[in-house]
Amino acid sequence: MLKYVLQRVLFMFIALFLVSLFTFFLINSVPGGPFENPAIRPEVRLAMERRFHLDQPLIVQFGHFLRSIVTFDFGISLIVQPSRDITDILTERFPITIVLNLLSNFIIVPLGFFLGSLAALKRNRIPDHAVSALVVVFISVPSFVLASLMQYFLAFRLGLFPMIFSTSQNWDWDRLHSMILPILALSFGGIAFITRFLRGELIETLNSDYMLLAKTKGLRTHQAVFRHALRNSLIPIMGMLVGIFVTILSGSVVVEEIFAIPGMGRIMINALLSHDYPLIMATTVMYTFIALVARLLIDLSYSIVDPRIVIGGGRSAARS
Amino acid sequence: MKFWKKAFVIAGSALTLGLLAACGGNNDPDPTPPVVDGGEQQQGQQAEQPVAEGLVVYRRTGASIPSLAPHNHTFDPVRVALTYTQGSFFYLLYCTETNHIRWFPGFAADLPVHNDDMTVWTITLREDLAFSNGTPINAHTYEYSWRMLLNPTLASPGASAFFNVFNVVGARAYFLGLNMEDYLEITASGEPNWSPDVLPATDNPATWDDVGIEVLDDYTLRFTLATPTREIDVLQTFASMAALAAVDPEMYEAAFNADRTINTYGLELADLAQSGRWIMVDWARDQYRVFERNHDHPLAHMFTWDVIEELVVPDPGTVMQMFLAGELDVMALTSTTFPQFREDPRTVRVEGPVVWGFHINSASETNPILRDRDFRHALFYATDRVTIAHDIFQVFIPANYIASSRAWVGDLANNPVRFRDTPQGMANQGANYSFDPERALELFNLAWERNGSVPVQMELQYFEGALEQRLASEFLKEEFEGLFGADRFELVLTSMPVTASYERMQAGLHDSGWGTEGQNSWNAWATFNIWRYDQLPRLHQMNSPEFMELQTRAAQGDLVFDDDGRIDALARMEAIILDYMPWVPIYQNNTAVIYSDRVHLLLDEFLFPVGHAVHQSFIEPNVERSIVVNP
Repeated sequence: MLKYVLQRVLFMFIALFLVSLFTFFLINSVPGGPFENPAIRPEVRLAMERRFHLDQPLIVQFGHFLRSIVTFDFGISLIVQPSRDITDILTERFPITIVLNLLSNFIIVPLGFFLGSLAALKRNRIPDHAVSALVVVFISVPSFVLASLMQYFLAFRLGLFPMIFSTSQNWDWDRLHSMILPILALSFGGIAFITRFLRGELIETLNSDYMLLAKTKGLRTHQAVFRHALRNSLIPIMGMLVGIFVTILSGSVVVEEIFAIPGMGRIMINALLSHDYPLIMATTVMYTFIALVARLLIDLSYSIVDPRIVIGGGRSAARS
Repeated sequence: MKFWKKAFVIAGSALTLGLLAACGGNNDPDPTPPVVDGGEQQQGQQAEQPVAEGLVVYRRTGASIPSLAPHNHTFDPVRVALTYTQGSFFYLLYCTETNHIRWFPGFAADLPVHNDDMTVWTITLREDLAFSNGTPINAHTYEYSWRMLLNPTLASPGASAFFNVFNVVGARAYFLGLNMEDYLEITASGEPNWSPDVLPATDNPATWDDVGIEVLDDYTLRFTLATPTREIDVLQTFASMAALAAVDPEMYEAAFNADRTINTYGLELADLAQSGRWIMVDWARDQYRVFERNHDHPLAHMFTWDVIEELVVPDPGTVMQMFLAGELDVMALTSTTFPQFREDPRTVRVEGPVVWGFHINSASETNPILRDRDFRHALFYATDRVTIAHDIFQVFIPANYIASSRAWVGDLANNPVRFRDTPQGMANQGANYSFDPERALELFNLAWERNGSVPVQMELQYFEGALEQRLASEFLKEEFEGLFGADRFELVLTSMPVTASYERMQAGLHDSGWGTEGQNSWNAWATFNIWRYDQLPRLHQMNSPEFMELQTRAAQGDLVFDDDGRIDALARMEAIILDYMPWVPIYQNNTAVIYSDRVHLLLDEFLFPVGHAVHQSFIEPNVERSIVVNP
């Protein structure tokens, strides 16, 4: 197990390096630079490029970047928040985005499981049809459209929620209240995926022989479902969770814009538009790192869900 | 000539000394004429203005600002925040007692004084100035601030404020690390190239003593300029002081890194000393800013806002909903929202500063027809400006000229007039906004035959994400191809990021591309330098010796103090550009905003440069603060 984990961590850093390399050369191949603003006089622009090593060959610049990563110093932002430590920017922005995404996931999993189970157990009846209709809507309608609709009807028309993210700097009720609509908007897509998938998995599982045995033994339906059927359906869904998490993480940009949430999404967009190379690299590395860690954690948790799976076990054991 | 010039200078100075009338921070009982008095043209339509009893909170949205470092900003919202939080020497405001706009000394004790040839200017500061943290502000504070601004190691973008319209001797040399002799030689060459690649290296760079900024005593500053400079240019330089704002020397020194190459002054609120009309008391980046009235500011009593709450809300739909729900006091109208509020009495029009159009690569090696003047004129006359301005952009106005309607000329101190209203300005504007399809086709046919009668393909770059610009481009495509014949002319549309588009045009790799050129409303002659061939970087390829000579004479030569001569020069320069046609003007970016019912504007009509004087307008004190300030 330890050997497996170490192997995965090593692969993780290799993946990080490759993503960084690819991203670095990609962003530098895009026309334009951080100091191309026509308002900056040419002599000033050249002096600034010299100051930040942008006049050096790309491979040298990448070397500077790698050195900074190794020392956990991402450098300073060039344009988005000039001269500000990127680490400060990330520590200021990431918590809001992470909380938003984590809370969305905390809603997605139980709601998805509930609706999926309901649909499977009440197959071809009204609850199943209602859930299916909801799933179609949640999958078809983009999250930003749902966000705008909820903002208009629930916040603007009915006044039940604030229209934008609270200005309170504390994690209090005002802040949480203002996060409800964006969290819901980000959750619907994931709920729909899990619901639909779980419904299919459960229906197949419910018709299996061991479920018949469970009922024969005297277990009630909900006992059989929750003790046996659901657990067997978890493995493929856990693999989906990583994708859902990463999708929400990257897809929260528009929702953050609608609700004026000062999260990572806007920083990333501004960094890309202004060619703020250090900030682009830092955010790319962070997002990639988070996705890879999430993947690793999910993989490691398979053996908890299904004891038959042995992580890094012998030849006869099922491998993840 | 010299005698009349002196007489003019003396008379003009006497008149401009009439700033010390009632209405402002001074108590001179002698009601001398206001500085800017254009009769009906300049007088505002002043509304009844009661006095607010209670806290006046003004709520609006604004763009996110990255920092409040005065020396490093290149972003307009930062400049606005700095003009609020940093004191300026002079302010151009609406005087409600005399019903005119006028210059008021702010941090300056009086108007600037000058020598005979207007190359040496002296400004005296008030003696009671201080930052909000208690640190005194005096002449030494400003000298230190500007020395840091011009520091060659720090390479501050704001440094050019001292070698532009207000051209201080030695400032550019000091900033570039040039030897003074080399600097003077380059300046005298007539076609200076300041690109660091070609500048001579030296072991003896200019020192601070070579820069024409002197501290005469604790409260007096003297500037030695390279060329005679009009008072309006001096006043303008030290009004809305953003890059030129004073910094707290102790805080600034503490904000340096070890090798003094980076300074973080102003990056955080705690690292900024403030002295402006308002003090920023809370700032959550990308979220909000809160300002409170600075009661110690010399002109604090002239402004009606006690608290300003600015929210960063990027989504226009959200902004509109907040405005309609009464959570905001002002909303900018776009092409999408303007039709809905066009007839609303709370909607007011704001005159835009610049003209937009598309540049044409008149020196193209790959598309020879672009070099044909008749072809470029064909595009000019084939452009339906009214449809683009009114139907696509909604709020803009059609423009078939170069200098916008905000270019002021004439006796700028006492009787400025719009250049566009002068006979010379009007002579450059064709009828029907120069939309003449018949003439366009005729010119195209001439160019077509001259260039081998082969199908023409021209690329037009437009900005990525700019919806209206794309629609306008598609409209132009349809119109041009329909008029010239789709078998003879094709307009290929290409979208690209703004900076990439400008970079491509600067490199001369384009066929045509949308763009604008900045304009100084009080000194259009200076900003016409962008049309010089020797001005780098440039987006055009027009090389006109006559133009460059006129521009030099009008901006810094013998025409500087010749009001009529300058009007003629501006008209002639504009005519040269329109004749060569390196750029097809299409619209002027007038905008519209709508105010909430709480806001009772001081001026019913837009009056440049104070607009509707919203800072001085009565706002009902009937809302509470919505943002809890974090200590």
